Amino acid sequence: MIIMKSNTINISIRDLTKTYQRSVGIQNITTDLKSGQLNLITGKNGSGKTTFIKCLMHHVRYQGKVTKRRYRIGYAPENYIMPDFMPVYDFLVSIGRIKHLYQEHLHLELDEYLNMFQIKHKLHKPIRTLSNGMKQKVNITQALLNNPKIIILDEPLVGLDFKSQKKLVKKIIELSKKKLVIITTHFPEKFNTSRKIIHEFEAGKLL
Amino acid sequence: MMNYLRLHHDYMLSKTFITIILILMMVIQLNTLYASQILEGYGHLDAFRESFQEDYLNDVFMVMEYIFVFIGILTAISLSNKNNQALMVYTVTSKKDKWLFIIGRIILGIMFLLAVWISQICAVYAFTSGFTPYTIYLKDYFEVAIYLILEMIQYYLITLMLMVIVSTVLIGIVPLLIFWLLEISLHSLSIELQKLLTIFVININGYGIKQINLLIFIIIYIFFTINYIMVLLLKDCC
Repeated sequence: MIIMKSNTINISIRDLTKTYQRSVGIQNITTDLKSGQLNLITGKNGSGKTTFIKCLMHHVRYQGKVTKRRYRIGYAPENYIMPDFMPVYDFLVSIGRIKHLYQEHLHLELDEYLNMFQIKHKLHKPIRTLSNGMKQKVNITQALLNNPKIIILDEPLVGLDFKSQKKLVKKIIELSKKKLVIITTHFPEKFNTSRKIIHEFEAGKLL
Repeated sequence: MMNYLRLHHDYMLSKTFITIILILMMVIQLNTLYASQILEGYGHLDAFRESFQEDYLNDVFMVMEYIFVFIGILTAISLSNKNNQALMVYTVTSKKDKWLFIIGRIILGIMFLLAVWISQICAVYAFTSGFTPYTIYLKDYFEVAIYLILEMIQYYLITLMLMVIVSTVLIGIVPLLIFWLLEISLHSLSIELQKLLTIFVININGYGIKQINLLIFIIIYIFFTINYIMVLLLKDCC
């Protein structure tokens, strides 16, 4: 008898609710997010997309249940507050170390992403000297380090030029074939793939 | 844990922070030089060597106390400001990570303060023994010096706790005010109140060995630290 082992990466969300002091962020969200498909989270401003992501990352306290196995997670937040004085390289090395990615492998991975985003020449510049778009590229690069099984990118296209957006979309679609990729975006039409699943939020609820 | 310590280390040791700390450490050493009266030669000391020696050690420890308290507060502010808090977003993916991040921050701060304390205490001891005619009794010297590091850690923890409640750099003024008020008014308070305060506040006031119940002091500050960790664990990351 052959037992087939499932390689699907799954996040199961049950009755997820997050309330702030004076408002409700999201309420009673129940869904499953799976690898092999591109999970796009869409909705108007303030509809609860980012709150949903923060709950998945355990960055905020919430009611309900989020079940996931302990996989490596790559996360790029929407508000990328990075230590301004740090050179890009030092920042990426620090984050790489936390993800157990050490010098030799780090260089290989960095090369790929820095070439893709064309920010190699900014590698030793302090983060404060970068433009908004460049900071977004660094933000996404740190999320993709050490081949995470789960990739969560909050508004990754914001601030990027058209060419970089195209490259990133292509990369995201490629990654979503084997990994669990969750993207929040206002432009789901830019992700041109038949494997995309759109989760639409409105006023804190999943439609 | 080591990776979190290195993360905080990379973050904390910015050029500005290091420059400020080096300047403060230089002030301690310059004050030691000046207080020793090395510039006037030591010929005139013979008759009054002991009283000069007492004044010298009092001056040195007083300035060290002020600067160490300031460094303790500055380290806490640097480690818990908005940018450092934001690092949590990049590195925390589970409750365990959050725990490690917070513990790493507290430990790194204490390790840094210990390094500053050891370097300065040893430098002052070496200078006094090697270049001045004053006699230092090693046991007494380190007994007082231990209160200095405890005082520094005490203000570091107080500032960390205040920063978690009010996330602004300006909150650093509060522990500075507490320190200053205690410094100028502790001895004008009634004996009972002094006794009560010195249970949980270390205030060394120059070179003199104080009778402080260290066990109670340590229990109080471990309790504070646990509270700090619990509040941060329960608080939203950003």
